[in-house]
Amino acid sequence: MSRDRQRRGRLTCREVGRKLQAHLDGELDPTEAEAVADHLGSCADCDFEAGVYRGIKEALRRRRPSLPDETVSWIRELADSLVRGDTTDAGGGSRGGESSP
Amino acid sequence: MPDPVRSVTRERAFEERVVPELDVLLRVATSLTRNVAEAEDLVQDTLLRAYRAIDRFDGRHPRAWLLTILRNAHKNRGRRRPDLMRDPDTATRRMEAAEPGVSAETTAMDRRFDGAVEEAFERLPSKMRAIVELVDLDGLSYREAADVLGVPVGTVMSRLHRARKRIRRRLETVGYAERRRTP
Repeated sequence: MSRDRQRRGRLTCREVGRKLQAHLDGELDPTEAEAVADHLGSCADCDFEAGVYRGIKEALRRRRPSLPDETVSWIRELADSLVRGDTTDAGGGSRGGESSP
Repeated sequence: MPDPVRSVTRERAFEERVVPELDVLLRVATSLTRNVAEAEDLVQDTLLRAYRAIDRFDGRHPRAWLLTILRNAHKNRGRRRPDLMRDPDTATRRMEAAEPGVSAETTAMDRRFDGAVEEAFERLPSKMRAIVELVDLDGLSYREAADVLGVPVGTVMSRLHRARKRIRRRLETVGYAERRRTP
């Protein structure tokens, strides 16, 4: 990569601040993502911010409730019956009183 | 009399495009309805609609297609019952009842940090919380969250980023993640 291109691709802290969350969410295109990653590699302040937001995302992810096994297997059975072409059964209504609280 | 060739194609398409998304559909339905039984009904509705419509689906972006079906099914059901998505008390109760996936190696410090994040999350306005939930808990992309909520991607992005900034500021006021940068 030429020196000129490196300079053009270099982002300011303010620009990185605007793109940081989208970067951590994997929503930037590869060129932008690379430019943000390069900046984070050489700027301790922005890298610290990235760590905080990454920590927030991970903490939120950890509080994700697990789906009840019973619900997961019931939905899988319903999907399997549709895959088998068994539409009469599949359309036969919900679990009604069996539903989890 | 159903055409057997067409039917096999439909079932194969359903298996390839819909079945891999079952967990995502259940998670998003649970986020929208805040109730497991309601979520089951909503996913059932979605699967039946998808099965009927799959012949007309071009096969691109199955998750986005399914989330749009789910959103429409949710809207139809919403006509019959109040929209729980806008009820912060119900949201809080569900979150309190939720079992957090705490791994064995989670340290006491992590737990305190997680508690602070959770408290900040609970303080968010319900519209912001709904987007954080879809992206950070359910793992949707911005486009997918926009499809579920029926809002532009730009709205998802701005609400989500503002929500996390609020959480970040809250963490700072309770002594976490103090800003090192000079003002």
